[in-house]
Amino acid sequence: MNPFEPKFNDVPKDSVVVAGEYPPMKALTPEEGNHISDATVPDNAIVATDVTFAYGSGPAVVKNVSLTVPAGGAIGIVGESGSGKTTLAGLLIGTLTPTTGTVTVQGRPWNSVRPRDPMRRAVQMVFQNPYTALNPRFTALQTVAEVYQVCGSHNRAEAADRARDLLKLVGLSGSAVGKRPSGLSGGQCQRVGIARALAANPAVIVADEPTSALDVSVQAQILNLLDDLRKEQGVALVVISHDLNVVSYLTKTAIVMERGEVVEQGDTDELLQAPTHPYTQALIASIL
Amino acid sequence: MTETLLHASNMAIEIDGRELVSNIDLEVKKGASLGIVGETGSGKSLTCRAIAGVLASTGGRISRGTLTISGEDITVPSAHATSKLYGRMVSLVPQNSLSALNPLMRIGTHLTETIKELETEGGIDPQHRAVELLGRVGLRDPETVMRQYPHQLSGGMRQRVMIALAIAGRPELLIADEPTTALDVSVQKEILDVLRRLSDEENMALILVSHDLGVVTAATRSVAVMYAGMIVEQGPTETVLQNPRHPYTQALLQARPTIGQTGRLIGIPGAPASPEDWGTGCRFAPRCPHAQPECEAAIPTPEPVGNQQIAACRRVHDLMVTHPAGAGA
Repeated sequence: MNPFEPKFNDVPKDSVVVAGEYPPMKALTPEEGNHISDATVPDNAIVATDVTFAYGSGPAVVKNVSLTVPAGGAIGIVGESGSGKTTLAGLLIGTLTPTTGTVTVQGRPWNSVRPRDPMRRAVQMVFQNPYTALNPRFTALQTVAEVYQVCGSHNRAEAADRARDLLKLVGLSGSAVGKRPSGLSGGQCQRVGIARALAANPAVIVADEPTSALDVSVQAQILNLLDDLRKEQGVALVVISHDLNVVSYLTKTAIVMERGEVVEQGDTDELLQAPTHPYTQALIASIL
Repeated sequence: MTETLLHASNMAIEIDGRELVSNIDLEVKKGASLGIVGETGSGKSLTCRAIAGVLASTGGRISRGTLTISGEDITVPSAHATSKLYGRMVSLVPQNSLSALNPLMRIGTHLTETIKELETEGGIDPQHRAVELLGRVGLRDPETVMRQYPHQLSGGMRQRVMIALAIAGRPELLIADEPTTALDVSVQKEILDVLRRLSDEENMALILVSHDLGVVTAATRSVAVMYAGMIVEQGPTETVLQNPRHPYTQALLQARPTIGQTGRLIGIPGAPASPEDWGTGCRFAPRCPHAQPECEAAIPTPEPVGNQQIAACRRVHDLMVTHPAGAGA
């Protein structure tokens, strides 16, 4: 069934990249995007170390994955359906707990942070489908203001003011602010989704296919917005996408996942232009 | 000179009295391939449904202009004419293969029922033909697939089944409406290869609809770019992608990130206009970087701008600057 299977079997065992056995990656400054270092460095927004996860007693769907994103850095996660990308996202935002391995956010182990701890807000998610990710009965302003009321000690008026400012920052103003998702376009909804995530003042934003539901002409606006937020607000970005062009635009480092494992990792452009792993090569050969 | 298979002239489509597609001029010759590119609400699916003769199911009708397939006027598709043409002359591969198949019916039954419906002359064993069709679309082990239910197949396999169903009546024109949207990139390529191969082998014309310029580049020889219910540019795929002349096509190519891109993406401001916001003039004008007051006055007529290339923009001759090629054409 898997077209890549035969190619995999041809690969000598020792040439398959296994997480944890990577050569140390060359360190880039945060401005350049990313660098690999260990979990104890508090500058690192999020670090996953040897993370493995299985649903119930099933097989592991994420196996020995390690990644590091510094503040203001960005990492891309590439792979096909079923490769474990979205499960990994769940592990990073803390809705799933690793079976083995640890996730550390700003130097604190994620599994020691209780669900209602304000620390949880440090990792926020931007979802694939902006329509279903928003409460249909809330206006854009209410959606964002609620986060300020819950997360900060703002009263209703203050929260609304701050929410209005934030929506303006992500490019939503005027009458759109008072509209419910049904009255907004896909791009506008995704801006609300991004503003909602930002209102919690996160250190990390995990964006799971943030533009795949959007039109090409709108996609560029959202990609630019995410890139600006990383550069200007120092938010670390984890970008999950099957669209290698999107990953290439937003990140300097990327990992390629196949059946729960990281099969290749490195500088995004090098990786996409000169892939060494057969799976990555096949993936890139398929781009149109 | 190859025979014209499909001809649409100044065609408009309306639903509930609102015109959603206007001034469509299209020509597809036998065995040719045409890509239709457009964003949400550009009218590409409605155009396809009109061509396939299944517009009535959406409550729409062709309100202006003419549409002919193989010389036969199907502007007003009476039920009889539609049932005779659909499947045999023109066939549609829908976007969502899971909702298009009956979940309680085996793949084999889907196919044999369709074959019995279309092959009225007899002398064909539907079972045998069904297996042959599944083989033609590149499904390994077609006998097993015959016995399976839709949920047992992957998205790519289901889409192959949809193609097999669509070609069961040996149509001369196959319309594929976003056939790869829900699929992984590697599967997407395989499906496009199947469509292209079938088109070549059977001399079957192909209309491929997509919001993705890459998909269209990979599988078609000519392309029509739609925006807000109108064709804004059309011509040979390579020419249009390398030297787009309409500001919308240019902006669309610039808005796509490409691997290794340095520098900022240039998005198109705003969002695609909805029909109630369409003015009397060029529908792209509110988002167009080159728009001038006169653009809002009247809908621009498509003009030839070079080798078989047509663009509908008042300023197309002022904007002679060649655009850097995008889309990996």
